[in-house]
Amino acid sequence: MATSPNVVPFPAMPDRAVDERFEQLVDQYAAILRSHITQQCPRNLGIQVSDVEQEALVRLWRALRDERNVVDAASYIYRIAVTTTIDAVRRVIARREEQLADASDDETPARAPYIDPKQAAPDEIVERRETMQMLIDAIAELPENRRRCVELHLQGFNTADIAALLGWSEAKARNLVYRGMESLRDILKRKGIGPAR
Amino acid sequence: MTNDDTDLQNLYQRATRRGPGSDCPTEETLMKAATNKLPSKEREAVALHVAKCSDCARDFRIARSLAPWAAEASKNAREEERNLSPFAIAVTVAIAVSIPLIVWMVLARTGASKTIDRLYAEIARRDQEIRVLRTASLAMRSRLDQQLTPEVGTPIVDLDSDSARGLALPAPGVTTIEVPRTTRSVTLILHLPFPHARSLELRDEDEQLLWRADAPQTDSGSITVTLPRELVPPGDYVLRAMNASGRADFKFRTK
Repeated sequence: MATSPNVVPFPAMPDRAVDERFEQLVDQYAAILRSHITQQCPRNLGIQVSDVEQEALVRLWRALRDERNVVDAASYIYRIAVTTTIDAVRRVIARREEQLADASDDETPARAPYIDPKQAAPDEIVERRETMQMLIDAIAELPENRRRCVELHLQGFNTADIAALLGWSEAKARNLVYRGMESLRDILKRKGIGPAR
Repeated sequence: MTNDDTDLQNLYQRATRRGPGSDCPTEETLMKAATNKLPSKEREAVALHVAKCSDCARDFRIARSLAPWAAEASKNAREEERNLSPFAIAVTVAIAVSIPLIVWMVLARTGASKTIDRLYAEIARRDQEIRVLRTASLAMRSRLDQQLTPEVGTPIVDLDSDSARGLALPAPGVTTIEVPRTTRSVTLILHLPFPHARSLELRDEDEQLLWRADAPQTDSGSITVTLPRELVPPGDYVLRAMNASGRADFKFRTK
């Protein structure tokens, strides 16, 4: 059984006590949890929020049933919500990749497994892989701080998240992202990648 | 491709998909980083990794987006635990106040008892001192009264030395002095066989020294000595006058 800092072994609760505790936690946290899962589940992947929510509640009920004493309920529910959402997203992506693998007999690229089947023509796949490598090379030409900010920005982080991750002020992160992206576009333009191409 | 942010993000995220054998941090680590519970060094390592791994970056974004809710919910739960009923608060305050108060009272009472005992002992000691001083005072006053009272019938006796008389102690011709009860002293006039004496000694019949003093310088050839009666209770005595050439014994008996 996996252990967590928020869960300590506890004498088995009677079923009725488990149900009461579960209902108490659901009353307290379910609405807020649903709201956050709705906000965070990637919409483009077709994930059903209700499924994720249902799975999170099932995990919580199992935790209570499996002789666990939830010390910090909010923190524990947070973990359940995060892991459940991550699992749901991974499942959807894995399913799509399986469909892609079934649809194409071509060798699947090691670093770019997710490609829209509509664009899966061999020459496009090759061109995209070349473009990806040029982008990686262009990013590598940036000064270190700009490079780190640009990488995180391109991973979809906002400046607040970048600042928190790097331990900087948000103003510094915003400035470096702006300048880094400008430099990156210049480099890409120089390499012939962009609107002019 | 337009090189706008969305295009570049899609391209970069596809380029940085998790590859086989990637050394990705655990979900627990990502959640700790998202809730700012990692030391700065480990947080930087997570930052370096998610910058180059779009799968972990996605997981981290999910963890990060729920982190404010978790922090708020934990805070609310802690506040609820702290929000006791007014009665419970009153009882807690009453206990918190009364315990040190009771302890203080007990300690104060113990301290006061010790102080009282110490003061009683001091009073008893002072009382005893006062009694002793009062007794001594009475005795001194009595003696002072005696000394201030004029003496009547104090014996004044002329003594010649044995060498002058040629007698030995005890001898039938020894001078006998009767000291009245009312007197406090006996005065002896010593007629010296030599012009001057250097010192005087009083000895009892066993030749034990009772008193010694320098002799007064006089040209008359005699010395007047007043002895307190306590010094010469009834018995045989010898007053010895000495100078460089010899000595002279003046023997007497008191009754």
